[in-house]
Amino acid sequence: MSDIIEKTLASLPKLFSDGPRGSPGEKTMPQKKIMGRAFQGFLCSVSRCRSLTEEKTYITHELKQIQESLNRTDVSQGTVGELLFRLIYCHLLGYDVSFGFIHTIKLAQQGTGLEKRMGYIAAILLLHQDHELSLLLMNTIQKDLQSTNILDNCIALSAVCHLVQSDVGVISMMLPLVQKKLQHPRELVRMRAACYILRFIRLTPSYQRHLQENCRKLLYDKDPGVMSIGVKIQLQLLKSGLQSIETLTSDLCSILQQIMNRSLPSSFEYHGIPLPWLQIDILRALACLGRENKKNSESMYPLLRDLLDKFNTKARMSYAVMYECIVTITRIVPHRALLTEASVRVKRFIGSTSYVLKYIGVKALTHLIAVSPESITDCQMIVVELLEDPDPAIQSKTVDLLFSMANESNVKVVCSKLIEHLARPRKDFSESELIDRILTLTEKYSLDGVWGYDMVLTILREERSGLPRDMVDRVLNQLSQVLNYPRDTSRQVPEAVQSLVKKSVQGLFQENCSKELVKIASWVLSECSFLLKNMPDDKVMSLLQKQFLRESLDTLTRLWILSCVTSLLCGGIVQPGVVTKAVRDMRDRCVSFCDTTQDYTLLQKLLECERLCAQPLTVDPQGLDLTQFDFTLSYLDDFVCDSLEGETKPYIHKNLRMSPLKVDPLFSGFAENAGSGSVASDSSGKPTKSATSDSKNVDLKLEGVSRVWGEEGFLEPDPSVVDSHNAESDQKQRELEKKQELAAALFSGFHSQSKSDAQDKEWKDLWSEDVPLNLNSTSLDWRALSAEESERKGSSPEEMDRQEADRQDPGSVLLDLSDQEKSTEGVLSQDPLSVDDTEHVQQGHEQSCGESQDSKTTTHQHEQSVGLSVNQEGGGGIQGMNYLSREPPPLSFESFPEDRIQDSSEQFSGLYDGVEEEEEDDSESQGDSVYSLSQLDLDTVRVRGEVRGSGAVCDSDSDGGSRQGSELSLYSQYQVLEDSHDSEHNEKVS
Amino acid sequence: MMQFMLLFSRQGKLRLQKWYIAHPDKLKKKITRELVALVLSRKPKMCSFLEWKDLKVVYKRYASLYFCCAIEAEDNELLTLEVIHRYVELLDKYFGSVCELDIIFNFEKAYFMLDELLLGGEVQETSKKNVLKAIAAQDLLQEDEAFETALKEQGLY
Repeated sequence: MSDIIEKTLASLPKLFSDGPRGSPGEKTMPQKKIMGRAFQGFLCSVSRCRSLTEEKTYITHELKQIQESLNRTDVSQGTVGELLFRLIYCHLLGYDVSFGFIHTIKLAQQGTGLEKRMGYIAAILLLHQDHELSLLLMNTIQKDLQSTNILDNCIALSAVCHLVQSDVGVISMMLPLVQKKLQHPRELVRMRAACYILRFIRLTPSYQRHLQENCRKLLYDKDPGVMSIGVKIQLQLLKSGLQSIETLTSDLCSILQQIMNRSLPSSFEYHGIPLPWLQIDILRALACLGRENKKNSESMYPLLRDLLDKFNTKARMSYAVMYECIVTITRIVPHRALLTEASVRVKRFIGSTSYVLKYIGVKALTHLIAVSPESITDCQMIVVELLEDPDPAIQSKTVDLLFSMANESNVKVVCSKLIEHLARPRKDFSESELIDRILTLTEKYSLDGVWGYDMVLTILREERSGLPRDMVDRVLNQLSQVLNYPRDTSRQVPEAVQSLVKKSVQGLFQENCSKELVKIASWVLSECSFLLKNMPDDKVMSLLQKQFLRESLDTLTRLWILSCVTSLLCGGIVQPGVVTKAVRDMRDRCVSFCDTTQDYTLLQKLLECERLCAQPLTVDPQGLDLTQFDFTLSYLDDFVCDSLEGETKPYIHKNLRMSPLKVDPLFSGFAENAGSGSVASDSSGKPTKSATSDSKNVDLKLEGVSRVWGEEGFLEPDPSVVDSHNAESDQKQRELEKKQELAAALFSGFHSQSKSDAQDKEWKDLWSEDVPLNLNSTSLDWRALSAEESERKGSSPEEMDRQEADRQDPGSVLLDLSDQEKSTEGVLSQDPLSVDDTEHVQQGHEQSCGESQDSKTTTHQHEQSVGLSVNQEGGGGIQGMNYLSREPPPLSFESFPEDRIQDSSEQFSGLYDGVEEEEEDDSESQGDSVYSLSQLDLDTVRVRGEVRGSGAVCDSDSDGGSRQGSELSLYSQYQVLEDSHDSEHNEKVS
Repeated sequence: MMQFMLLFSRQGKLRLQKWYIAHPDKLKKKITRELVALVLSRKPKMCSFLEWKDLKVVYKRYASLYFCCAIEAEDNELLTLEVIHRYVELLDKYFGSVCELDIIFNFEKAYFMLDELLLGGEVQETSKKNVLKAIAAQDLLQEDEAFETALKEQGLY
């Protein structure tokens, strides 16, 4: 009681001073506290606790007291409310407060006004829709929905949204009431009712049809807030694939048009952007409507164009709308000019200094690349840099991008990059996703299976926890297609198969490879056992034996190895004597690490092998008829009879047995049959001249790549010119070259069809307010560098010719290897699988790693220079640390209230005035030409572009801006076909 | 649709939590613990988005408080960032200049405010004025009550 008096006394003077209905705006420092001092005291003493145990004892004590006082009948509703809020706080700290749940419902039921509200809020926070107690609240909710008090209506509707479950009975009770509220005169109530309809549609999609009429009306509501929920509902309906209203496209378009014309109330603007949330929902709905629907898409084009032009770089919200707009453009029936425009915007995102925008940019680019692969050529260098970004979130998005841009010509580089990312420390769930992607790529593009197998071996070089479950199956599936070549004696074994076998043997030489690798490799060896004919017997066996005796393997993998041994034996590849020795040895030694008395299957298989060695089978694979099977095992009848006449007990089925038998007699006899079967299917039994010393590297080497595939590769600058620069720039140059090589390899499949204006002014980083503008200088310097480079290139055309002559056929490193294979003779005759070779492989791998480290250092350099300016931001953080100790200072949010933002925007507008005007001009002229262009055949544009593009390198230097120059020089090697209007623009300027 | 929103301090103390999907308490605690650790380990120069399990996490730090939202895969991250910002703006407008302590001691207000902004995980497109009006209406309600109780206590009513 005392705290109520306290509270009342505290509030009295204020009440008398400004009256009970004083307008809220007049209050300055808010002292609007529902809770009394006792509540604050509770919070204080909780936060004063020094240790967790202290807090725990205090709170358990407190909870007991709360429970007692809640159970008393003489407490006022206000006190109950306060106690419930203490419970919410304890719940927040992670304590069990389930005893209070029923009291929240009671308070919501019995309270009036504020108490009712407190009860509801507590119920919403503590309960959830699947909680059994929430059913008790339904009656109260129903009552409050019918009340005339708007606030009661509102809170009841909120509770409905949170607590009503998908039970049909409850819904059919609530739905009519809520539907009635859709006609409520106050928009606040209408909006909440609409929200419930939205949630309801989500929960029970089957009911949608009944509500369609209502939902449609919501679209035409006079309040924009309600309308926005109406759009959300339509979006949900579209997503669930329901037949939509016919006029929906035009309706949504007209709403969007209204928003863009700012004909809706200005109070709904957010930082100068009218109704951004609604805009984004409309754009999403349009994306659904326009997909594969030409008529709908065409009606959107002009609107989307307008939206792109309206892009306001100063408002952060604008970026969100822009991103959604770009995604919509990629989803609908493609429009060439719009896509070009979109790629210009994406470039700005991705080139921004803000990490947030970069991330979104990469996402947008991933969408864009699916419909217009050529758009990536504009941002390739940035993408290459982002691959090495220190932020793992951005890295993983860039990996997504790489995956989606893979095509025939760059898939090997993409895969090797993905594998590089695999080596980095990361959470395990993304690892399995990454491996899954690599496998998908190899399945899609690796037709001969060889480099795909390379990738698989590289992945499996070490044990991994996050392998996809079906990995072995997928790989074997893929390999069996390769191994399924026509087998007749006259033809040679395909090279692909030879190299597969070779690689498997190499893989088995690794001491600590994963067990999946052992499985796959031993499968390949048993399938192609005949190729191992020329390898010394003891060598093969010792290899398998070594793997078999590895302690980390499980029984299943050992069985794979044993079946490989069996098929080698039956194919006549290895002498029975050697095998007997090896198998005995295996059996003796495997006792040391696994319990053979328990592990019947392994022991059985080992015995089978021994038995086979004693009576080697000579089955002629050609003469064997595989269409007939003897399922009754009649050929064993004699053997069984003999045994039964002796001491042996008859076979008892597993389920009927009382005690387990040691070795299954049925299966031990089955061994011979199994052995002969595998011979028949596997070996054609002919000796082959094949495979070779060794491949030099299993891994892909990146540095070699661009030279081999350099059809559109970067031109290397004349070394003599490089020498004239100082050492530092020389190093940078080299790093840049490396990146460019990588870029050339990665982007080899993309031809830029159109290139738009190179307006790539740096965008100010809106998300980290404190970073000053001079940030931009860092990115300028390598641009300047590449500008120099372009000058050099421009000055020596004959060098370019030379480079062109140097270009080789776009083949792969692996093809080179196969050439070597042809030249060498004798299968594995000179013991190719020495340890040196595996070392060599590792070296190759290290080299590529070193390369990536190099490029990392560049990004670090960038960071350092950026770091200087960022330190100022750190100051704010230090201030923030003092907050806790004393009187609370404001959140840093205060540092950018609206007036400040305006200030800075003025600053920026001053800086960018010139640029922006120019930009507007451009886009206008673009707009005109773009529409006319779209009518033209694209090919003619391309031809024109080519003619003009040839002169572009020289032109650009004169027309200004080292940046533009550098851009053009970069693209010139990609056979950039410029848009006609672009070069027109250049001409005008010059 | 937003899955949940968490507010926590730089020390990792939870200040506010709001769940729009039904999870058992145990799972909620686990998610909260993992997410707080993850976000606190991020460096300031990294982007505000994370992929975590099948969710996307958007976080932003204001002074000593982290605002952290989890959204579904197809949602727009930038937009969520703006939702957070808008919430902070509202808090700021209401409390004068808001600080962590304001939110600790008036967390019920912070919850009211969040309810006005997000309903069932969906952002409501309302003007800032409307939200503040709704909150003010409640305050009036509260003061009416306080007035009545005051009068009752004094035996005048």
